[in-house]
Amino acid sequence: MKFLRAAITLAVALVLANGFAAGNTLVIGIYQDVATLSPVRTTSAANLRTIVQIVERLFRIDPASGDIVPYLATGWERVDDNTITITLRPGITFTNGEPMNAEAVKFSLETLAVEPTHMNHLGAVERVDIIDDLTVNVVTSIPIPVLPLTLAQFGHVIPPAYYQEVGPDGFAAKPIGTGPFMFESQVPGQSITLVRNDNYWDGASAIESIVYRPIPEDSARISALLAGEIDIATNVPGSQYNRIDNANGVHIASVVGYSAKLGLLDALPGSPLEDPRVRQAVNYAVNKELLLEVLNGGHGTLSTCQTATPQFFGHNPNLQPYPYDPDKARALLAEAGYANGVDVVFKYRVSSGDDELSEAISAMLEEVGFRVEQVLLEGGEFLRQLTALELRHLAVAGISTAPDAIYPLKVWVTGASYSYYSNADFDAAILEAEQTIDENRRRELLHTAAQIACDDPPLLYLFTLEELYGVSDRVIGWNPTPDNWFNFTGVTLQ
Amino acid sequence: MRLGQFIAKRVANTILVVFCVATVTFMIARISGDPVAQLLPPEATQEARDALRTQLGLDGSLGTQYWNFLSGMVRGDFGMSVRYEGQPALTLYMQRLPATAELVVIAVLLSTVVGITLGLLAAAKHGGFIDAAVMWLAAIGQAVPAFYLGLMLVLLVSLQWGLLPTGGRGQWTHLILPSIVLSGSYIALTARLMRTALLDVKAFDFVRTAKAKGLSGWVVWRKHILRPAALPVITLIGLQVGGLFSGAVVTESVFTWPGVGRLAIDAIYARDFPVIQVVVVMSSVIFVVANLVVDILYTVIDPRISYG
Repeated sequence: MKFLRAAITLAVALVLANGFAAGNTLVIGIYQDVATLSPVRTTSAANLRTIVQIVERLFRIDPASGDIVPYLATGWERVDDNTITITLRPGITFTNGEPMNAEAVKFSLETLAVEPTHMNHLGAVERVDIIDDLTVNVVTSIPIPVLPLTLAQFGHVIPPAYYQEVGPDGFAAKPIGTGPFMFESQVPGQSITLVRNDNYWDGASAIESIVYRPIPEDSARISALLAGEIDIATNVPGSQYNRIDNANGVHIASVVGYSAKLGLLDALPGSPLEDPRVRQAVNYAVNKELLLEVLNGGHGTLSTCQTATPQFFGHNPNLQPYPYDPDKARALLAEAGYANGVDVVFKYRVSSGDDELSEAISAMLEEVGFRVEQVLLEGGEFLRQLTALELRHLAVAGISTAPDAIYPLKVWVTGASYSYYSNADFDAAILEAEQTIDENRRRELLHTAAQIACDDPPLLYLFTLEELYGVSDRVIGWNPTPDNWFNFTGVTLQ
Repeated sequence: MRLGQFIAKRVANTILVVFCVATVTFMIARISGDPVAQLLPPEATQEARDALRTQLGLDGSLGTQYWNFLSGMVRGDFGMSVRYEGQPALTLYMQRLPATAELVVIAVLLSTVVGITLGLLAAAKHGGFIDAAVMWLAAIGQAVPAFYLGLMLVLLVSLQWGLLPTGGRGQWTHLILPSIVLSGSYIALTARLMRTALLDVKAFDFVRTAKAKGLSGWVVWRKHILRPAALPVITLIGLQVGGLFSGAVVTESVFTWPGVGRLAIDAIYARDFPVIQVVVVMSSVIFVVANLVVDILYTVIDPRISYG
């Protein structure tokens, strides 16, 4: 009896000591350790989903429509092809007391423009002219139609005096911004804690603090959610959907992101896939619906012969997915001179969810006459081969960009860093679209390019998987956003 | 004096080993890929790649980089992490070391105490029920993979019964499951080794002589059986300490333990050269030192062994 009592006491003590996610703290289990807290040094969602609670941007992307909406800026206007005027929201200060004004924006954008991480999309920003305390002109060396979108993604505004005082490393160690939360502390590999900014310009959050806990192992992250140790688990694999869906006190939240799964097709000279008919055959041979159903429980949408989803500017609404038609695939192969089959090499990454997908696709290709040699690569090596143009002849990969069709299309322009494709008409449309300011003309050009890339496909078009999150029922009013950063405006905890 | 010479020789050996390990690690890391490719989007221009390479100190020739690495290492400077930009690699390692050390020390204590006890029981009751039970448990302990044991314990103890946290580091309750998983196979190994060693020693002439002299059973056990039987077990513990400091990766992953293993894995995926180098070099130092300690302990325990 005494023993039993002692055992119960111990059990109760253990349960109490476990530290459940409770009270007014939101605990998020993220799949990857946050590598940097400086927005100057990263474009990765894995880091930005923490940073954007602290540092805010000039604009943001409306999650439903994909439109650019005001944030620290109230609006923008195009002066000429190379200049836009941005008007700032008055009365905002950084949490260290510095004013968020034209000078801060000038400093921030000019700092970002010369960083290697941001050179690709902001490098063309030549200078920022201060018009008055709340107005700036952003001048670019070439016309950039997507500049407002870029600023909605990476136009972070940082406090100039503080950044210059502590330097880039100091800022990464303790970032300061205008956001709804402030950096509190970090235990390396273990947690990052943010606390509420009580003076937030858009009204203080109902959540007192947010704790990010990196839990890279999928099953460990989901166990932590089910045990009530965390409130949100990111990156739930499709295979774990039911485990959360069937459990009490937690539910699945999902969103169609700005990303797509695809098969990279090598159309370079000498490849068996150089002939467009062979690449069409690949698209006919693969049963996309079945793959989506089996591998992700149907949680996703089929790509419509373009990787852009309908939220993207320039998405072509007239395109349809290649139907699953193995006979047609066989006929096309025969037309291309491969009636007796053709040898191809198929490369894919280890354990990124791509391996099962790739094996299934290989089997479908074998059905219609491809003889597939599968090559499994480690992630880093896969990336190296991708840009070294060694990923021949097929590879499964993903693409994730801002919601403008120019981004997923322009990577297939002849000679681009990992383009295995060349089509003169496609190149012409994209190159013009890149510098066309007129929206209607730009949309037209993107539609044309997408049509070409459907008929003469550089890709095996697959699908966009839904991003799945496991969420505790005590989190009220939160929806994931397609960029997979977090927005906790209006979220409360029970 | 002889011991002093022995230690001096071993220290010299250690330096050579660490130098070789450092060189091999440096080469393998560089052959394996490019960290810049992972930090920038694939469509990044050559200009951006070059700029980042300069910023990270990866722009010099291989010879220059190697020289910088070696001369830095001598001063205890392993360079800046690539993935955690702006943070010294050694600092990152030292931040994670306490977590791993805590787990390793507890796991070694656990496997030693439990393993030796089980081994003793089995040997003392050789051929009996306890012996069979211990051997059976030991076989299971060695056969069950750590990740499976870990996941099952989480499902049962944390989720089903709600007794212990599923992972992370915090109170002492967080330590229980990971240390069981980490020590599991070593408990089994220690128990088997202890049992075998004891049974071997028991059969030696000097034990029979001691018994014939009329010494009590306890004295025979303590002085003539346990002491020589302890040698292989101590070797095992030494190897275990060295191995666990770098080999707790699986346990650290399953329980989200913020230790060196996790840091190493992330560094390898990101081609974070400085961090890979610091982890491998420090692990080799720990391994070699642990072996040195074992060798010295030998001379203390077994007077027949001397080094010269």
